Amino acid sequence: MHDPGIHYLVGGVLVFLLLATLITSILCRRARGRKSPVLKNLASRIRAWWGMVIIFTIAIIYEPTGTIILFALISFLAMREFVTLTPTRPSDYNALALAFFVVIPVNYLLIWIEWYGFFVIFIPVWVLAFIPMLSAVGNDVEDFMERSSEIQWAVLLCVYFISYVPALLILDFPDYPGSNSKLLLFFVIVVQASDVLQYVFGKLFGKTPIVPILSPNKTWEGFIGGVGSATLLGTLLWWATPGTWWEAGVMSFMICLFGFWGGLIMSAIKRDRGVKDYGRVLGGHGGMLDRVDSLCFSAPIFFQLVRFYFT
Amino acid sequence: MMAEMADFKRLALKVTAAAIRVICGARPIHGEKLPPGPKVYYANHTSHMDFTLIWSVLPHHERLNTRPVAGRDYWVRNRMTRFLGCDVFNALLIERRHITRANNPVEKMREVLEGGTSLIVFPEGTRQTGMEPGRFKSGLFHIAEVCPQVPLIPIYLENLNRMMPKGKFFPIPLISRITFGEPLPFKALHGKRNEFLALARDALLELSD
Repeated sequence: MHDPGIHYLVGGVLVFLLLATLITSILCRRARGRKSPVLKNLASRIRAWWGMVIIFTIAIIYEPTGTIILFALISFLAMREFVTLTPTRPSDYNALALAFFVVIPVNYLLIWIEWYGFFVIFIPVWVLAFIPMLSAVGNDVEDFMERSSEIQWAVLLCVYFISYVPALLILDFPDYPGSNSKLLLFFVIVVQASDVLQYVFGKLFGKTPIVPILSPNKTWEGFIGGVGSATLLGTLLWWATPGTWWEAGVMSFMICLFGFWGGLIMSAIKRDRGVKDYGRVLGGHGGMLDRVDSLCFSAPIFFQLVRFYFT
Repeated sequence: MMAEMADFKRLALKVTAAAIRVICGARPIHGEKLPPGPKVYYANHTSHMDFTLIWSVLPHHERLNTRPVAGRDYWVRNRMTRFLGCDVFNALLIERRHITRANNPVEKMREVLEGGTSLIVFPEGTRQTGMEPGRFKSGLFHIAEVCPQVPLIPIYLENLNRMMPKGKFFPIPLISRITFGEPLPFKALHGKRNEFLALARDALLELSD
C-alpha cells in the first residue's frame, strides 16, 4: 500500500464514484416523485458500488492476506448462488460439502503460501475427479451426469477462475517496481469499467442485439462503445502494468472481450434456469455472480497471458 | 440483575436468529402480514433446520411466543437432543406411537394455543426424503377442529433438503427459500377430514411454484 501507484488508482476510482453519486443525486432531485425505474436502479447500484469499493480498498490495504480472504468470500457467495440454482439432489451432500468446506479454503491457502504449481492443478485435476466419485457413492443415478458436471462447473467457475484474481499477487515480474496490487486493480478496474460502459452505451445508443434470445440488452452499439472506451481507459493506465502503453491496450482489449463473453455465458445459464438475477446480496446489481460474471472468464486468461508474456 | 439477564437473553436470541438466517440465506418477514393472536404455522418437513429457519425469520415478539411441535420419541433419545429440543427450542413434545387419553397430542396443543402461544407443526409427521411433500397426517385436521378460531398459515420451505438431508448434521450453506401463505380461508368440517387435509396440502403446494 506504500506504492503511490495504488493511491492514484484507488483515488481515481473514488473521484469517479463521487462524480457518479453527484450526477445521480441531481437527476433524482430533478425527477422528484417521478423517478423512473432505471434511475432507481442506478441509485441503488451506486450505493452498492460504494460498499464494494470500500471493502475492496480495505482488502488491498491488507494485501495479500486481505485480498485473498476477500476473494475467498466472493467465491463462497458466488458458489452458493450457483449451486442453489442448479438442481442438485440430497445425495450430492458429500460432493457439495467437499466443494464448500475443503475446496475453497485449500485453493486460497495454496495462493497464500504461493505454491503456484499445485494451485493450477488442484481443482482441474484433483477436485474435478473427486466430485463424481463422491456423487457416485451417494448411490443415486437420477440425472447423475448433469448433477456432477454442474458441481464441477461450480468449483471451476466460482472458485478456480475467480481465484486467479488474487493469484496475480504471487507473480514475480522483472522490472516491475512496487506491489502487484497495481496489476490486480488495473484488471478489476478495466473489467468493471467495461461492464459499466457497455451498460451506459447500450442504454444510450443500443439498437442491434448481438444474441437476442440470450440477452436482449447486450447490443453491438453497447459492445463497441463499452469495449472501446474501457480499452482506452486501460491504455491510459499503462503505468500500473509491467508493459508499455500498447501492451496495456492489448491486455485491456483481451480483458474486455473475455469479460463480455463471460457475462454472456453466465446469462445463458440464468436463462436456462429461468431467473433474472443470481441473488440479491448486492442491491440493484442482483447477486454476487451477477457482478463477477465478467471476471470469471477473463481472470484466468489475463493471468496466463501476463505470466507467459512478462515473467 | 434480572433485567440485565433478560436483556442478554433477548440479544442472544436475536444474534442466534440472525446467524441462522445468514447460514440459510433467508430474510426476516414483515410482521404486519401475520394476523394477531396465536397461530398454527404448518410447513413441509425435509430437514432438522426447518423449524429453526421458520423461527429465525419470524418477527422478534412472535419468535418468543412460538413453539415447534416435535415427536417425543425422537427428541428424548439422549441428553443432547433433550437439551436442544426442550431448553433451546422449547418444543412441545408429543407422543407419536402410544396415544392415550392422558397424553393426547391434540389436547396438549389446544392448551398451548389457548394460552396465547403459536405453534409450528409439520403435518407430514416426519422428514421426507423425496422432493415432493408427502401425505398429511390427520393431526392438523384435529387441531383445526378443536380450535376453529386459530388461523392456519402454510409455509413452504425450499432447498433445505439439499442443505441438510436426513441423516446429516451439518448444513451446506445454500440459499433457502421460505414462503409464507395467507391464512387458510376454509374451516375443518366434522367428518370431512380427507377433504380438509387435501385442501391444506394444496394450499402449501401452491406456494412452491
